[in-house]
Amino acid sequence: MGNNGAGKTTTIRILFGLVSPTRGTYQVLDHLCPAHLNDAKKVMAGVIDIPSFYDTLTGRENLQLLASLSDYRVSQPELESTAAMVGIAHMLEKPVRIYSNGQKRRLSIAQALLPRPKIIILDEPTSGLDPQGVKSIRDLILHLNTEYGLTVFFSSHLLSEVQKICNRVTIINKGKIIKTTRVDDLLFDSFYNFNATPVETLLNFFQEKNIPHHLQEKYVMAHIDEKQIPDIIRELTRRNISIYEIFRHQLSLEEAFLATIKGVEK
Amino acid sequence: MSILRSELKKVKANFRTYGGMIVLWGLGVLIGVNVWYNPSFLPLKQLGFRLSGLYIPGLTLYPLAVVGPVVAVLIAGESIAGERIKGTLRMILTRPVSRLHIYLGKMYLIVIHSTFMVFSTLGITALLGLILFGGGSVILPTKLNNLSTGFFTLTPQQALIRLFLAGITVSLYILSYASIAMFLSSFMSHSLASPIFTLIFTASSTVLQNLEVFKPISPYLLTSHLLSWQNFLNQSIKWDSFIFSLLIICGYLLGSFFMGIFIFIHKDETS
Repeated sequence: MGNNGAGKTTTIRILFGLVSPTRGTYQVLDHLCPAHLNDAKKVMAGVIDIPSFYDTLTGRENLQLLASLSDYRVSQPELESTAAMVGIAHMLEKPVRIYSNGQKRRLSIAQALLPRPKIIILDEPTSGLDPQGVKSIRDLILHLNTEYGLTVFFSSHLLSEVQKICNRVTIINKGKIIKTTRVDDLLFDSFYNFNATPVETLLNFFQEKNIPHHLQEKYVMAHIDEKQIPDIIRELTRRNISIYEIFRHQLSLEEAFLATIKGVEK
Repeated sequence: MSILRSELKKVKANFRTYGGMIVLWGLGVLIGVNVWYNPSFLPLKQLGFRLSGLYIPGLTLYPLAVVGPVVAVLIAGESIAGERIKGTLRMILTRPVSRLHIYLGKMYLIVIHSTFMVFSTLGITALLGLILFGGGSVILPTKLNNLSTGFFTLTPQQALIRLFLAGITVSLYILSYASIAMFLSSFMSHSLASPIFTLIFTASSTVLQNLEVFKPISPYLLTSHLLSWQNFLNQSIKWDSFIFSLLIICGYLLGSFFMGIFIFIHKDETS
């Protein structure tokens, strides 16, 4: 997850060897890359950017052609069942040039599934789709994970999508990993709202203690651990700050994301 | 092999693959029909010699050497840049195939296409020639385009061997252009840019070879070897001159081939 230009697509391009890393290595399952990139590509498959196919070939021919590049001899029943699973069985004999964007997305997921990878990597899989298309791709991703046990690794800047699909999330910003955590943990990260006066003194206190915080309407939202609260109350009272309420803030993913990015930028 | 198979599948579905070949076959047939309807077209006939059908494929070698590179350049120039533009290159690169093999697969295809284009045209025109004129020995002037120097005769077998060698030479000449186009295609991001630059290179080379000041480098220009296949239509083949032409043609072919591979392997695919 990351803003536009954060490096999501570049990361995926590096994973597939489309772009060489300026330095460093990465590991896909047991395969250390880029040295063993081809071995890594045998266990992962994916779609980068907008899916593109050979327009003059049919869906079936495209799937066969791309599977053959993985040295995977796909049987017709297997090809048809995969196409049915992604919902394009009825389009298999038609040339790809007449496919809609959503159908192309589905075909791209089918081509990624056919060599039977362990990991599927999708780059913004719902971009450019209508709401119905977004939902169906989302359902398909969940289906692949729950029914087939596939790991689906995908990039997105659509937070609602991430919240609905992902177990784990990595936030990147300007090419750097900021945080990798379970989505639930990110949402239930310790943010507390303080309603106290004078606000300026409260803000100064957090500033002084180097506690990430920001003013949101009448509350000051601070990133603290629950265990710190008694000490903070004592300290605030000592500084003559009147505390009216303190409560845990239930973050939306958007807030969690923005808070994380903001914390790093500070 | 899987790359080559997939490349064959792609070109089979592409009309452009056949377009150039149909033009060349058509040109060959037109030449044959023209000789049939207008025998005086050939000075040999005027001199009372009987025409052999094997003369017709010999006449198509020149159009092959001129039009063939254009056809091959269009296909080779699009092979990588075209896929890059369409986005299908990304799809291929996610597969466990090395970039070297992808490049080689595309080059194999160009080799097959160019060779087939040359020999299918020679075959069709030979068949047409045999139907129109029958077989028999081929009589050629001792020096091409100079009837005053006398004539020599090639048996049908000798004529076929020489046609085969001339066909190989024309194929290599075509392939050298295709290889240049592939090299340009390895880093360009427009499907027509590579063919256009290859044609600009050809035009510039043709101009240079005719400029007095560039005479010293003229033998090293690819365009200077357009007619190297004519060696096999002379009474005695000048092997030293032919081998020099072959070295120049292969130099361009292999030089651009290796440069293309180097660039394609190292280029970041960001489009």
